[in-house]
Amino acid sequence: MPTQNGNNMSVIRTEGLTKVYNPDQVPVHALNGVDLTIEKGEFTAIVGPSGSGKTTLLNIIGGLDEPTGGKAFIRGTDISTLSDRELINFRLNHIGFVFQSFNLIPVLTALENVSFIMQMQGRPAKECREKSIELLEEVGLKDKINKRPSELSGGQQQRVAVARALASKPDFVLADEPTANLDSVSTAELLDMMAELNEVEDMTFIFSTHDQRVIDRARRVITLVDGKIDSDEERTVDSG
Amino acid sequence: MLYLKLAWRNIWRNKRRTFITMLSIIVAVMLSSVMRTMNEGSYEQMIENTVGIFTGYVQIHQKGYWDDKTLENTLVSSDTLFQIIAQTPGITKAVPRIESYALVAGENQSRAAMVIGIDPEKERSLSDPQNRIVTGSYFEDLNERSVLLGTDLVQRLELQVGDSLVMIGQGFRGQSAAGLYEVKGTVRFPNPEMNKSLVMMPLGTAQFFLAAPDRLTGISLIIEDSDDAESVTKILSGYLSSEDYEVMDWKELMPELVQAIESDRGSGLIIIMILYVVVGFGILGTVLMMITERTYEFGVMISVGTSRFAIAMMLAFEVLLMAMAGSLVGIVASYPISYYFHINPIRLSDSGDMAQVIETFGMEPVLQFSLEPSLFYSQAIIIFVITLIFCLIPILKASRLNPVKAMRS
Repeated sequence: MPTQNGNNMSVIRTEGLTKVYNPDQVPVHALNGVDLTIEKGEFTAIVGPSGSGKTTLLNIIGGLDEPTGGKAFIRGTDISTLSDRELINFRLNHIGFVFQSFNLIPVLTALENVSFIMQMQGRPAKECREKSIELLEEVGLKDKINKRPSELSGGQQQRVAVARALASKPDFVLADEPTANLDSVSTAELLDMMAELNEVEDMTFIFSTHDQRVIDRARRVITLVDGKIDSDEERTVDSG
Repeated sequence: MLYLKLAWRNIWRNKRRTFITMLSIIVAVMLSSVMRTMNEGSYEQMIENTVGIFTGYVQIHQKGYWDDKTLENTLVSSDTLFQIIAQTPGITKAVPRIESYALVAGENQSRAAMVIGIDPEKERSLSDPQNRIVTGSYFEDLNERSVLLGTDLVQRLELQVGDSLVMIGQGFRGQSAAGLYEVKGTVRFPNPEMNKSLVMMPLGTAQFFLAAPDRLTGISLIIEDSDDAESVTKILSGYLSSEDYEVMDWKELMPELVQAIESDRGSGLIIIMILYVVVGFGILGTVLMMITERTYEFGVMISVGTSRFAIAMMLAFEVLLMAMAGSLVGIVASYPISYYFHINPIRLSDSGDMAQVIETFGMEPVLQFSLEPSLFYSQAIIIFVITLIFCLIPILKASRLNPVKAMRS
């Protein structure tokens, strides 16, 4: 796999990232040369109006979409050169995902959903179970391990999704508008939990969001406008 | 194991959809099995009615008899010949016959008739006339001067049991044949043509009437397994002089019957193929629906690192489980239907067009169903394979989804 040079490897680095939809018909420039570096342990929110390119950026650095131009490095690996199979494997082992909603496999329990990722990695069944229980305990759902998604509230489902995202021991977690369908109490609980994981375990979180409550908790806020970085602001946030 | 668990739970996730998919498989297996058992049952019955109870599965004649069926081509009945037959593996009985044609007359009516001289004892193993007697009684010895008539023939001749029958014909080497015989009884065979023209006589009486003592037109052989007719024919041909005798299996004896069956089987297969295609598209529809409903879910699964192979395996197990269960239930459901019609065959109305067409071919207008196990499981296997083939494209499509597009759905 192609890797970037240097010893101080960033978790994510993009160089002149562009994405054009419908290039042959009516071209839509979703990203216009995005240069971005995210280091380990960051708690970053990518914000911007609808159509500014937040989700496209997240999809490309998550290895779900290919850039039209530029490069995206994850831990030094240029993911735009990976084949489909290599990308799936890369996502499994290096990236945790939390989506807006309906994150979980409906026919599996909370425990099985978390364990599923580790089983895909080929880890022993006993280890998968023990680690899943530990993760669900960490996200405050010890008493819900045998519940299916339909038996959990939206906030609880998102917490299971976070536990699942962490199960593969990823380099970072991408969360695409994770609080979009949550009430304020569930949002606060989810953000508290993620902030704690960030601080205690030094886990890197990158959110795309419109939600001011998320933006208020982020230590770095990158604002995209028309596919370009309009501002990149580091802040001190009161974790209490 | 993980894929199997996922597949199993997904099957029960939408019970109505699973029920519809399985029902289409069950109905397909049922329809195709019942249709095939009806077709094959009718063929078995045709063969049994003509071959099994009349000609026999294998026959021995004097060489040239089958091409030129005259008394000049009859064989001489000898102990040596019967000994060779008895020593041939696979043969259980040998039934001698002499057959010819004659003009038969009652007091007011006359008809052309097929005259068959039979050994009353040995014939029980083949056409079993004693059990087919409608009125009167069976022959008591080889030389009694009496006849059994087909039920329709006796009506046409306006005769009754106990009346006399005049027979005029040509015997061996052109000798004239004439005689007066008592009508001892009437017999009914499943083959309507026989009922219209059959005159049965004890073998000795027929040989005397035809001036052909010790001569036979043929020896019909009863074999252990009707499927072995060809191999028995081959073995026996090796034992007998090919210059003196011809040994023929039923397919050679009745090529027109084989052709009729093959042609009917061909048209039956076209109908069943149409059924397979209809069923295949029905299954394709339900599987496509199942996959479309879950596109977002597959998008999430691929995004978080589930391999495309794993998605395909999971779906393949779902379809496999439903197809297997559907096929098995289809067999279980179709067997009682075929069994019922095997015991109670559908008798076509005598005045109906179809019945008349069937009778024209000398067959009984009855739809008999077969219980041959291979007909059931072969249909289950075919429907199972069709299900898998028609599901292949949707499964591949699901496994090749673009996760971003899938999650936008």
